[in-house]
Amino acid sequence: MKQLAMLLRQVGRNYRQTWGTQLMTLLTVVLSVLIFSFFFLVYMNMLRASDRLGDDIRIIVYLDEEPVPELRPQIERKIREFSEVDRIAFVSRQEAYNRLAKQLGNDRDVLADLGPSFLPPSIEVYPQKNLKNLARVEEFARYLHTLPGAAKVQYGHGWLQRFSYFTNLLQIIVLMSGALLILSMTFIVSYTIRLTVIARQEELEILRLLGASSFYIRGPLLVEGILQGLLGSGLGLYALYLLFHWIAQKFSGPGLLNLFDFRFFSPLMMAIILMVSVLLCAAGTTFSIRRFLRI
Amino acid sequence: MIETDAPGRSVVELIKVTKVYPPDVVALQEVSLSVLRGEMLFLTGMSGAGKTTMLKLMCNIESPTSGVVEVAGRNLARVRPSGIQKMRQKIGVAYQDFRLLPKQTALQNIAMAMEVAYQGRQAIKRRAEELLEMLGIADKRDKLVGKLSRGEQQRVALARAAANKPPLLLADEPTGNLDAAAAGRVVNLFNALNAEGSTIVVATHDASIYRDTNHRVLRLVHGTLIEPAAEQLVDESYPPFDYESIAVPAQEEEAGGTLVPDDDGDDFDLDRTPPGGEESEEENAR
Repeated sequence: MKQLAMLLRQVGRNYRQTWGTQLMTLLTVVLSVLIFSFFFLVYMNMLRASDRLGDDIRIIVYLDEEPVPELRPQIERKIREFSEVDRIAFVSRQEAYNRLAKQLGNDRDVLADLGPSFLPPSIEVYPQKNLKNLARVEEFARYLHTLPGAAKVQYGHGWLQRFSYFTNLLQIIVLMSGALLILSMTFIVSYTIRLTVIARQEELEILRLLGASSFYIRGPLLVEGILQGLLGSGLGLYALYLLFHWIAQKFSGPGLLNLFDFRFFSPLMMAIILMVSVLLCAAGTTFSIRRFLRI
Repeated sequence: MIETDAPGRSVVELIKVTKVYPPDVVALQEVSLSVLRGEMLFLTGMSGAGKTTMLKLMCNIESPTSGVVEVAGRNLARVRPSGIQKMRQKIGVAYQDFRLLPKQTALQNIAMAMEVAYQGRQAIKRRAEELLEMLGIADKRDKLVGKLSRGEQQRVALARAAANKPPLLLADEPTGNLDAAAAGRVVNLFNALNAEGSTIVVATHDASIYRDTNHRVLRLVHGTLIEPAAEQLVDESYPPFDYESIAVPAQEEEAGGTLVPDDDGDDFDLDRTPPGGEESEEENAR
């Protein structure tokens, strides 16, 4: 208990002596966590949105001619050779016509002079929910194009591709901001501790002569590093939470953002970010202590 | 290792200790000395005679070139760093160059020694104020040490050394910058600590503090210990030390052997033993 009290007293004393440096370090950690967690939050939400979009994927194969009933099982068997198929629906010209008429509602008169013959028959293929990889969807679409009588295959290719590219880009940004987080935390915290060690070299030397234990000398430095990580990541996450709420309020109502159902980090994810930050800062501190504290 | 607290057993033992500073400056030459538990010992001699080196060897700031230094029966060359750290908590050292932090107050400098030993806040404040009062610098309590005179700094250094009531106190030229009155206060502090059971080794060339003493006085001459006759205690006119004439090549680790930590753990049997033995110690504690 005495040791803990002394440890905290030393930490407080050092914070008072080097508050300028400590504050700058804290701000750096806060900013790093904020930048990383911002992109990570967007990325997580995009992944969730991508999951939802993946659930709605439907590949339509337009046919030249309506397949005779005897041919349908063969086509179905061929499609199911691709293992990730959930269900298949044949849409006749008449059914397509009825759907269009239903969609047009009161304007269905425009179809009055046209028979169902102008619409192509089609097969709607619903892939399994685990088929989310764009390359795999493309491969599947190419395969469906080889079916006998297939004229065109449609699955919102352009949109899916852009979304996939965007998610990939976000992934790279998250990785880069993650690297920034690691570098800033370990290097900046390590550098701050180094400055502290250099500034207090004389004092530490005297402490050694007075018989201070390794824990007495190293303990406060380690606690300072851990506190930087804890406070920095806590404040960074809190700032992100405020930003998240501000965006949610400003952009509420019908709009693009509502399509994505943005959510904040779960308590578990926040705990992980806090813990990783603390570990990174502790690692930076330990490095500096080992490297520069010659006692 | 000393197993009892009986007065008379040696706390510090130097066995044929030689210390040579590079390239070939001999500070101590085959010196053997026993400092008994509870004794006050004065080491005298001219500047450069080896007094400071001897104190540094006793608290392991320096290592002997050859020979053995034992504290509480343990060869310091074979003690682990954690053991040295624990030993230093039990040894109060007043350095010749003070080793104080100029940007901290007198009180804070004294408190450092007690904080290292995890003393309570109130106890630290009480003891520090008591020592400042004893040494006549109570009014300098909250003054930055860098702003104090040399004499005042010296007394702060002494107060820090005495703060934990150490079983062994080493003082290097403790009155070098003091007037007679202040020196008298320092001697009173030593006497009080010694009466409570602290072993005290004072390195000094100030004859006034040991001239009329009943304690043992040894003189270092050219790195060699001699026990001077009473009349010599007032004579400080020894010839200056001629290093050139006795250049001895360094023989690293000749007698100390390899620095392998021993298996005795980190504890040092360095408790204070007041005159009267353990019972008196207990009474003091009460």
